[in-house]
Amino acid sequence: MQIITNSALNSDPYAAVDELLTALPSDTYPSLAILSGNCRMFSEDALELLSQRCPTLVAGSSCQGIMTETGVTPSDSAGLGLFALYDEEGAYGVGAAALENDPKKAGYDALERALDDAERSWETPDLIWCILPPGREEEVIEGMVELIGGSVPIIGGSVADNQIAGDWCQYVAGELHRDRIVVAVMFPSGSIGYSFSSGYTPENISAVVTHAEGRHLLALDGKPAADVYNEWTHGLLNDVPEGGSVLMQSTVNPLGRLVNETEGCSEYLLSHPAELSPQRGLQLFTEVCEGERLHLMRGSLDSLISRAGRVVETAKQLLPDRHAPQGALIVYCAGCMLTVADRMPEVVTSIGAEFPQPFLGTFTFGEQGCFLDSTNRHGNLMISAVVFGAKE
Amino acid sequence: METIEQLRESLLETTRLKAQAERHHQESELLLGGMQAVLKSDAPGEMFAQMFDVFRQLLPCNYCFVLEPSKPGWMCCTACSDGVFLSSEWRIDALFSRILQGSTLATFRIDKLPEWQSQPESLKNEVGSALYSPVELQDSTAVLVLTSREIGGFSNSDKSLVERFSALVAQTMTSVRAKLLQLENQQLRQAKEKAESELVHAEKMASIGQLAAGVAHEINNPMGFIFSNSSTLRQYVDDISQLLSMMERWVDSTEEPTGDQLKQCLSGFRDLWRDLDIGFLREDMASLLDDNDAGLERIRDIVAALRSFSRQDKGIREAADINSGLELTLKMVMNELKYKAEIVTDLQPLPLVNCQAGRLNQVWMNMLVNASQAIDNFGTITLKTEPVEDGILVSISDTGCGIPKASLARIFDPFYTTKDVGEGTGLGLSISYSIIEQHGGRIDVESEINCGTCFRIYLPTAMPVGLEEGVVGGEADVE
Repeated sequence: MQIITNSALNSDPYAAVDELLTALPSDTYPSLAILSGNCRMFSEDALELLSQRCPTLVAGSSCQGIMTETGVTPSDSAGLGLFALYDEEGAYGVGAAALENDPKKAGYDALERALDDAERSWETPDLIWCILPPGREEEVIEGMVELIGGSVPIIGGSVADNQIAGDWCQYVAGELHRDRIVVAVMFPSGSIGYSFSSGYTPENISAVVTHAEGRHLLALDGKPAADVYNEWTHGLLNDVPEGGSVLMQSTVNPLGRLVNETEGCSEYLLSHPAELSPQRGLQLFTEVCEGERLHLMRGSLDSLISRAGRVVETAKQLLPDRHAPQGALIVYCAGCMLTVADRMPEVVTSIGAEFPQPFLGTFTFGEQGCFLDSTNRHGNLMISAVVFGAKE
Repeated sequence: METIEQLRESLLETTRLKAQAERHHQESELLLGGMQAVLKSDAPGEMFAQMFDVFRQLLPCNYCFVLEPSKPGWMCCTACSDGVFLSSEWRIDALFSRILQGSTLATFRIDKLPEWQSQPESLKNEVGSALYSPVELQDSTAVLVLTSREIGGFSNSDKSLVERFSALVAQTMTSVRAKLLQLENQQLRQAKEKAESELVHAEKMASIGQLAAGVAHEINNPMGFIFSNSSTLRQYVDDISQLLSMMERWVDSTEEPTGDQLKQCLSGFRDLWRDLDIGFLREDMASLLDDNDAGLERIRDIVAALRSFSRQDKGIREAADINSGLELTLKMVMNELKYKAEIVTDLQPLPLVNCQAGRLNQVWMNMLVNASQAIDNFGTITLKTEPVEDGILVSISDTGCGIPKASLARIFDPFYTTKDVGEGTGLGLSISYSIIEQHGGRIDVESEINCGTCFRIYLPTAMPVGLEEGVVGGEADVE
């Protein structure tokens, strides 16, 4: 198994693709190629050139750019990164399905097609990598679990644009899309370690969801959710008009649900408040259910910077004995990236300190991963990492 | 805040590692316990049950079973946790080919897998997914299959876990094979012993048949003349009865006879006496009765010898005089021999031999009959015994046709015979050899074409170590 990553800062998509291709050997195709980058760089023709050298190419846009072991490329107009995995003894397949109005079916179908593409139609893969459109990720995951059960880690991120303007896109099978469920299944010859975490700690404040409709959180403990949240955060929403975005304000104070607690060790799935609704509710990037207890979480710039390295390190430690890491895929919340902003190179440094191997990091509008309880979930402001290992 | 977060992170990491270590510890304990349980088990079924039990503790599986190559392109279930898949056949398709090439893999749902389609519908309803792992054996590759009720019941870590336990599976399979081999050997040994016993019995039956023929002849002869004499004696009694009837008339008469009547009576007696030749009758009757006595005595002796011969065939070992056995056997087969050869005996006093005398008599009889059959016209059979160091030596030689050199090496082989079809079983010498060998002795043979053959049988006086408690043959005595 060999993993090659490369990034391109050129704002011309063709030139950027050329730049990416310089790192790849010309005499062989990668078993799987994953591209991520600024949505403005997603030119169908340019990516067609790339797919000629990488027939299994799947791509999803990332907020403002990507990060690799060589650095971060945050820009409004450029930034592409390629993760090319060479593993002749393994098996890989990609599949896609239109979201339409049935996300569950789309998840089911996309996964089924990916398995067929890998010629392992009924075999349990080691990992499902997904590139999803933001909005109904929970249902997509549900569809995949219906097909394959709950034991396979589903890891990935929701495609993002630069301004939350719906310009996100995916590229699969030679075409650009905005609503595709894109799935890659992996049966590597080596091993996989993965981790899903956030850089936040719970505050000693919580309330029960008493009214919610999908991703719209309307009431906590019987009171308007926005009012409760504003009270908890000492007036964080005071200046936000109805319908206004609260993304930036809430990045350091998301809401969290306790999803796993083992021997005093708690894991929280985060929900990022996105918008103040006219009903004094909060629009989130994840679904919440009535009866769930939501905790106020708190993060800091430093924790957001340092956490990525530790998540990757945890994933690396989960590789079997005598397996050496070869490379990693990292999903880093775009909200966190925007908060960390100028200090993003420190995130790369924190990862590199623990993980000198090549990696590709993408900035997403939602993260999918697997906690210690082995349940696949969709969350916000999370960090998900997959480390690929090979026998030493 | 950073400190708290770092502490939480460390706690998370420590918890994760602790869980991993505990899991590995539990796995090791199970592996060790499983290995010990498998090794302690006596029966193959129990071994598999122990192994399946380990997997059921490790993984959420409802069935475990083992597939082994059965015929080209197929595998067969040779062990199953609940017996439900036992003997089911599985075609080696692309999936199984990959497993047999060394890949452990899981199928997340079996409902559309071709190799599951031939399984009973009721079973398919109980199985959602399956995990397969190859098990390398010395001469083939088997497949361990674990099933779960759930769709996607097995994860990547489950695959790794089963791979780590492949040593247990291989150990179990090896132990099972060794046990089966042991059982097979035991069964084969028992079958061989049974076959040998049946051979001994068959030959004994043949010998008894031969013996019975001889004994019948021996008895028939006196019986013949006893019957004949009886018939003559009955005639004599009838004749004498006529004389007695005549006398009876005079004895029973109440009138005193006159002189003429007395003369007439005396004349009648004289005529009848002469006619009946009573003088000859009297002499011949004594002779006939003497002959009958002699014939009956012969029959009594033969029956007594037969009973004595059979009594020695008790199948138990005891100190016995080999000379007595030889004499008794000689008596039994004398009818077979006396028309073919002069019997010369030179039996020197011998120490008692710890043996199964009845079995040895079978040997002597076989060799004496063989000797007589080797003689075409009339020859000599010499029976000789002598004590030697730690044992005795029996020589049985004849002046018969001899055995070709090419045949000498084969005469003790089972079913080897130079006699015509129906005349010999071909087992006599083979069984004789086996009986002597089981007594710790040996048979040597010397032969010269047209001059004769000599068998020398050495027997130790004491049974060698290892054979002391053995019972040769083992079938019930035939009385």
